[in-house]
Amino acid sequence: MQLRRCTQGICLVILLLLSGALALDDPALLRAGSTLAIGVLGQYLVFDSEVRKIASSVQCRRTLGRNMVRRGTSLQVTSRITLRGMPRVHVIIEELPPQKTLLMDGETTIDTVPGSPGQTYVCRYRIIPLIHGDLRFSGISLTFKNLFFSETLILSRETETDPVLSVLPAGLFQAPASDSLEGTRDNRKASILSTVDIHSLREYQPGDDLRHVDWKISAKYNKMYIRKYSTPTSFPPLIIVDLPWCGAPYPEKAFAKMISEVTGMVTDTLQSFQHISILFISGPNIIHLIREEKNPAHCLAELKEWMHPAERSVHFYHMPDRNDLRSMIRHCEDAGAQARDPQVRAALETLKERYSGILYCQRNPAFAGQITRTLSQLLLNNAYLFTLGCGDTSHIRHVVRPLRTCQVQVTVRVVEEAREGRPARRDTFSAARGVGA
Amino acid sequence: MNTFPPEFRFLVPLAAGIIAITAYVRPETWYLAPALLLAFLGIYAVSRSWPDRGFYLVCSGMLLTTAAGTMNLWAGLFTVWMVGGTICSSHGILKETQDFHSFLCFCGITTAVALLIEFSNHVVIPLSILAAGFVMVLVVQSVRVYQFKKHYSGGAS
Repeated sequence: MQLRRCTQGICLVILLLLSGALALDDPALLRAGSTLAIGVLGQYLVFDSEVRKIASSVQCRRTLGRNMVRRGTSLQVTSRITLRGMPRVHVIIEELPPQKTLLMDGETTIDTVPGSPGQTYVCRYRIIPLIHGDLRFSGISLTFKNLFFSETLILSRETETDPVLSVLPAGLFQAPASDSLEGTRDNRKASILSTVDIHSLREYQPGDDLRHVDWKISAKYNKMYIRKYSTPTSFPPLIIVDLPWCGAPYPEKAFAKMISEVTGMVTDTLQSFQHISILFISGPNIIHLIREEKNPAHCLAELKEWMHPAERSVHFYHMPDRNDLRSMIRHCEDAGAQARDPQVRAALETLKERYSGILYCQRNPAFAGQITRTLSQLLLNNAYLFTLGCGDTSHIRHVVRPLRTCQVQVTVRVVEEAREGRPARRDTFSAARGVGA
Repeated sequence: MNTFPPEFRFLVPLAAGIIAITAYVRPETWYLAPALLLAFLGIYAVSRSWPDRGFYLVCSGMLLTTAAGTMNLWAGLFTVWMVGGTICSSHGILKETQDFHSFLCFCGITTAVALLIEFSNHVVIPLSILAAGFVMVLVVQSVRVYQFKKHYSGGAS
């Protein structure tokens, strides 16, 4: 409970009167001060009683635009709050969105009409979740005000915090702003015309090698300038980790083996190249991208955070790549042209029609575009894809194809449990023979 | 049709009462209470559009109450009731039956307190009793508010 300015002044008067009564031993001052204090206390009790009546009448019903939302995307929320107003109490309702969300637009504060019996107030707004997971609304905040007092009450019971918002993870599809410079990136790649290229010039400092002085520029500006060279370097491999779906059983031993393999490869790569990029996917969902991380401790901490079965908002089931479908159609056409047996030709024709039908109906999945945008930020020559190979693996084809298009050598590693009495399946195989192709 | 504002129900008896009591008691400083009454009426008339009007009315009303209380116990009590009624009516918090019940309750308690002060020789004892009563009420109220907020926060206080 807070005293409003008027009540604060009255309380000061009470204190003055009572202290004056005590100092002067004057009953008249004590009477005046005590009656005023009784009046203020009585008003407070009346206010408290009215606040309780209003709070007990509050009903909140909240509906979401979607049940599940991806992190970073907006969500429409509609709240209907019913309460019984009291004549002299002004109530301000404030909707409290879940924590770690950003209010995009709309109003979360409602000014109610005092004394209205059982009126319903509607509040519509849009939020953007900033983290993934299950987020619960924080409830509603009611601010009661009358002439003398104000009180804020936060209703956060289950009825006021429902429903739970399920936020799915989203991939990072944009390069950080620090690495972008007016739409270009300095990749420090050497020119193909020479093995050594000049990266930049700077002023001479004592101790610099005089052989690196750019005499022409130095003569022009009458200052010693040193050339900074860049040499051809190889880029660290991109490690892609295909996490299993948390909604289905998965081979835990194989997953543990995959974790140790990924960790080992990350450590080796960091020692060799000083930085590494790791992309976490779970089926056709991009979970997280660690981009050119240089700190081994931070990198391992990120691995620990993200290497676990993940939720999949999108699932593929035998989703063929459109390029593969086109090549199959071409193959059927070629084979049909060469076939002499009419039955074989008819069969190939039927197959071609089926493939054409699938190609016509099937659109390019969003996942392929997301992968392309994510990979476009990275400079790489090699990529390693770690997967358990359980469930549908057609998404792997959608990862491998854009990499191969960029002349990146891709190695798919299907991690399996070692089984006694059975020869171990060949782990590593080229993407050309592709999983799910 | 009644065109007078509701606070006139208290303001007119207050003015009449103060004048009558002053005339009846005839104190040495007979001009004090009527002067403070005029000040109260003036502030009442001037402060209609002021923010925190209640504070100004209370300040001027308490001066009048103290002045009337020095004349007579019942004069002081009467002034308290009328000033209280005027302030409540002018703020629109004395309209319904429930409000009048609360006001009557206030009058009863102030009477009891005034009698307690009157029958005590000094200020210290009634002030201590009143302070203890206030502290008790506030402690009980703070516990109630804690439980109330705990209930509405879903058990997590």
